[in-house]
Amino acid sequence: MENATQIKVLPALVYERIAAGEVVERPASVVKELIENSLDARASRIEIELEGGGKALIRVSDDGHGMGPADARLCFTRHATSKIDQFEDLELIRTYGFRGEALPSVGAVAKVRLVTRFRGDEKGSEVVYEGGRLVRFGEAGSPVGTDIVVRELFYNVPARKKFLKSDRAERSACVDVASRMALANPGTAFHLTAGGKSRLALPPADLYHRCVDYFKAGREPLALDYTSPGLGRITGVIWHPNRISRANRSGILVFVNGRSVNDRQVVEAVAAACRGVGAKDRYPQAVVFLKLSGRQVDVNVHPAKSEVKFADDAAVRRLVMAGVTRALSEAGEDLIAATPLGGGEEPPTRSRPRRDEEYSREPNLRSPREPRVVDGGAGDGVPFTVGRPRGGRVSAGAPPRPLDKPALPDDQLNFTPEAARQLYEEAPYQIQGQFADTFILVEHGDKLLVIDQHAAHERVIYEELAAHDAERPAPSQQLLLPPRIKLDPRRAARVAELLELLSAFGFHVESAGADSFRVLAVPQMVGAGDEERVTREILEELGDVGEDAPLAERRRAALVSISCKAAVKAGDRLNREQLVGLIRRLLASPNKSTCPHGRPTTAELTEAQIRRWFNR
Amino acid sequence: MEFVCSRGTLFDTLSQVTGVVKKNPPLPVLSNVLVQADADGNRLNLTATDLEVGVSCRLSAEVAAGGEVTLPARKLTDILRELPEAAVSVTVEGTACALTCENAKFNLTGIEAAEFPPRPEVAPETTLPLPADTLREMIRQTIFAVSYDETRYFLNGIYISAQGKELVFVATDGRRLAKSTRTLEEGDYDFSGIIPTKAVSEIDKLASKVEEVTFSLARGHLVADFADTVLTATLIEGDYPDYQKLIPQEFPGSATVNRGLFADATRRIALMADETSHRVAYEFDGESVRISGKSEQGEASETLAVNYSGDDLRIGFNARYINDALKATDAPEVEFLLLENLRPGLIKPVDGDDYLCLIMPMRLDDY
Repeated sequence: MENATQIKVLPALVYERIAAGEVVERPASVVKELIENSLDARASRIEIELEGGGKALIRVSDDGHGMGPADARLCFTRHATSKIDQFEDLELIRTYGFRGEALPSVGAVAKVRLVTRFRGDEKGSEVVYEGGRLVRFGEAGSPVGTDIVVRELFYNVPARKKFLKSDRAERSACVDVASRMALANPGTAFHLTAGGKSRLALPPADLYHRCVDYFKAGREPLALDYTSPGLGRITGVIWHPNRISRANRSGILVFVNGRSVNDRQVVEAVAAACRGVGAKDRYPQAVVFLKLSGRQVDVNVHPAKSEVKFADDAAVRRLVMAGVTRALSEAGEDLIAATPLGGGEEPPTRSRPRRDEEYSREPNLRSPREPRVVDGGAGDGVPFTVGRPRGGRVSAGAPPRPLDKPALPDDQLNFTPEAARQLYEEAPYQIQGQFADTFILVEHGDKLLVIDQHAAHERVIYEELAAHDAERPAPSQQLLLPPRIKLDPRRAARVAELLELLSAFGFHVESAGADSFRVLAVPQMVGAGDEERVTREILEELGDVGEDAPLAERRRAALVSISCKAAVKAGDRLNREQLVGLIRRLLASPNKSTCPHGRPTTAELTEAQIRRWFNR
Repeated sequence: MEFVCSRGTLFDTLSQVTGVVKKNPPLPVLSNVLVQADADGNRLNLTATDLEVGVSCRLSAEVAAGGEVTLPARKLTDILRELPEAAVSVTVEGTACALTCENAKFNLTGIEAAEFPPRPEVAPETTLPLPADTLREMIRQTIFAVSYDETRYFLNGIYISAQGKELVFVATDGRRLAKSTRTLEEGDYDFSGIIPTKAVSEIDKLASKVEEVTFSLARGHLVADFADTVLTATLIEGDYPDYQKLIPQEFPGSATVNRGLFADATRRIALMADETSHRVAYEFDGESVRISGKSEQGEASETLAVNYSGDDLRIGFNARYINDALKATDAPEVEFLLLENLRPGLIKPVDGDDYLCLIMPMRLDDY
């Protein structure tokens, strides 16, 4: 019978090649697998060399613990992994290449030469695999560590080879993969050369400096560090959107448990937390590390492992938003400090030790400014420090500054929320006027307070509106000429769900068909004639709030947006009555020292400081 | 150029025109006043402008030599204010001005007259003479409601319309609308335009010194003639909202109130109203209105006897809007016309339709 055997067992080699494609798609996936192996071997230095965009040659060498002869021989055998013994162990995955697929897959579709020596062994081993076949195995001279050369990727799988992109595109994918891994592992030195040219040269550093080195961004980022008990911790860095921002979300890199992932939710949460800070339609640049307990995250979704599944999406989103918001709000001080009034090189700092420093010795997660050691996220990997590079301000709650630090210059603009809080407790205040149509100058005792009128008004409106809800909506003025606002369909659909929420804050907006809305009433603080602009801006911003965002978050987003849009702007000339009214309302407002985005409302100069300018 | 005139006349005339000079004008020459001397007529002409509104004023002087120059308006005003009441003689060569009065001598540098923007050529299409007090009353009855927000720039002025014998001034900021109407004794007019608020205030000031004002309207411009003074304004381009549609024709509720008592009570209660919104609640029933306000600091209420017909109604208003509307008329009794709690209320004198103010309410959802 001719057709007797329709079904065949695939020859092992064919199977290997098919399976390999799942892990090894392109040179970048090889680079990734090999770097992961190096990191698992606790390398302190990883060298990567590419030729022909990695299609001709990929070489990864490390100074990790290496392999003994038996392991070297076995490592090209499928599912030979030293990392998992039992299935339950999957729940506690903390290393990278747990699937045991990496080397066999690469070995199946390329010509691979591995030279390695285990720490403590006298001699090293050499293994050569070509197209899934062991070609050579024997002793070889080698330093401790592993050196793998992968040549002619897919030489035996022409179908796949055909789909590889240009050398340039493949090279840039390789560099990208290596970069992400370098960011996640700052304690390891990374060097990457392609076609003999250095593409990545990152010395060992703490995370903070690794990010600065990598982005070559001179402007110092803010450290992220926030822990949500039982869920996990967010660390990393973010550049204040007022300093560095991007036109899209590509500057937000996300790592979960040390692994670079493409997770839209996390990226979106970072962007959302920055909304309202910095320019509209700009996105922050940030490197975000989430360290979640193994049970909170499923990394086995895809062999390429660039996707993760969270057990509780909303909780992760909250963690990210809280971490970013906190970093930005603490940055408020630094943004002022960054432009000291006095000259000098010394970073601005407070003039006298603060009371609260003296008793808060316990580790304080709210203050990421002082360097601290945190777990790198890559399991028992290299610890790295998160913190500010040089000097830096001591923020309230941080450990006291060592005495041998340089003298604290007094002639700087001082601000801390605590200081402002105390200031406001005492009267009287004498309004001296408006400066640059942006700041309100207030004399208070022997201090000159400089108040950002927009930030102050934002806070005032925020607090006044926050007291309102559906039961007790904010006072609202009906309009004689209700403006019509048209939005794009996506935003319109989201906004339509938020109209009730808005009415609690005095914006009575009704759908007027075809993505249009009619503004029937607005809170009194919206200037007459300004209703359309203010409402439009608020609706547009709310149209960008994630549809699955919890109510509390939407509410906050609405409040922040309304405060920002309805507040006076920098450049608005205020008359005496407006100045007095604003300051009086600010004084009556809780949280008066910062605006809802966390920027400071107030800075102070003492008479003593000013006297010093004039050598008096 | 050379002339002599009395300090008082020169100072008063200068004050008439310098109202339009801005503090930091876009062109330096706009800080100056154009001085033109006409030797034949023994007359001086002073002109100032901010490009939108210009004021020109004539006065008599002994002109020895004609000519023109522009001089710093504020400095000249300050100098004239300090001079003794005597003859001032002015000599100008090029842009150098020498001013003497008794023993005091001032040298001032001006800017060439050629740099001063020329007055727009206006060929009047319509001429409308108005008694100055009528004009001023119509301004008073509307100007408080103009919008200062530049987004809807066409509301930044008073809409003036004359149809047949009816003259109407309207102003609105989108929350209230004030309308003043007069019937003219003669004429058959058909024009309308939006006069910028600044021009309106200057017209109001200049009208206080004369008996009659003549408006001349042409495409895009208004010329107001006050005997020796002429104001030229560029009208705001744009379509004014169809205000007639905004004013409801029927009001089921109507209260007759004493204007003074109602205004006083509103002001008192507003002291306890929310500080940003000035929201005050009015509860009308058969014979009274209860006015109440509350804020975090406390609350207040007062009941006034009124003559109210209609269903019981509870409605909120911005106390300032109510008081603005009440201040704009002298009528002892006003009518407060009402529809529903989210629809506009209307205040007008009991006898007469020459004035009305439509006010949008504030919501009382949380009250």
